[in-house]
Amino acid sequence: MDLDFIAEFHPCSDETGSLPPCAPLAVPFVPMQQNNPKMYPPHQALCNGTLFPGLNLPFRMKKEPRTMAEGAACELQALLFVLTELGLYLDTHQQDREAFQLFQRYAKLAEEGKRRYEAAYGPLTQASAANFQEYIWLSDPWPWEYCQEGGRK
Amino acid sequence: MFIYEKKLQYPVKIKNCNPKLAAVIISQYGGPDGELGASLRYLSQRYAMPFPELKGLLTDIGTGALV
Repeated sequence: MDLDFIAEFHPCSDETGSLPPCAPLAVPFVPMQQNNPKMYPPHQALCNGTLFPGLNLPFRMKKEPRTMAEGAACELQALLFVLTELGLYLDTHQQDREAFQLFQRYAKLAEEGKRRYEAAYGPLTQASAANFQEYIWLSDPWPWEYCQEGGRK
Repeated sequence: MFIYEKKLQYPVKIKNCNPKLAAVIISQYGGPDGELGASLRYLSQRYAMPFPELKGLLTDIGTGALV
């Protein structure tokens, strides 16, 4: 599967992708997202449910994102979402160096964000519970119990 | 192998409880053709995938859908 060959062809606009030239007859192809796609900033990405404006295809074509709540938890959620999205993009575009460098930067930001979050709210994983004075992994609230007003979102 | 993170992926703020909507959402997740079933199919079928990029892709999509 030579994805590089496909990517070299004429760049299309951001919401379109490339198809292989001279493809075998009667085989369906999905247009391939190109290198260097436009990307939303982290909070907008989380709000829209995708990092890429080109892939923002809401059901009834309404494109205004809902406004997001702020907060330390939200920061981390946005960072980790961008990281996930970039990871999925890199799975099909492993030659995209710029995207990989962005992925590395976000990974670093996410590490720092996790440490800040844990300092404020407690361990994120059972293993990281080791970094605290006592075993507080079992403490309430659990994520499905976060309250709406004032509590963690 | 999976690690559980004690946080939500997306902030949730429920102003009004809506049990009917909850029933629809849970049926989309767990019901027939639900996300949960799809995730487990991705995670099971990657073992038969010959291309490394696609083993990775199936793994990552399956993981993301489980979240």
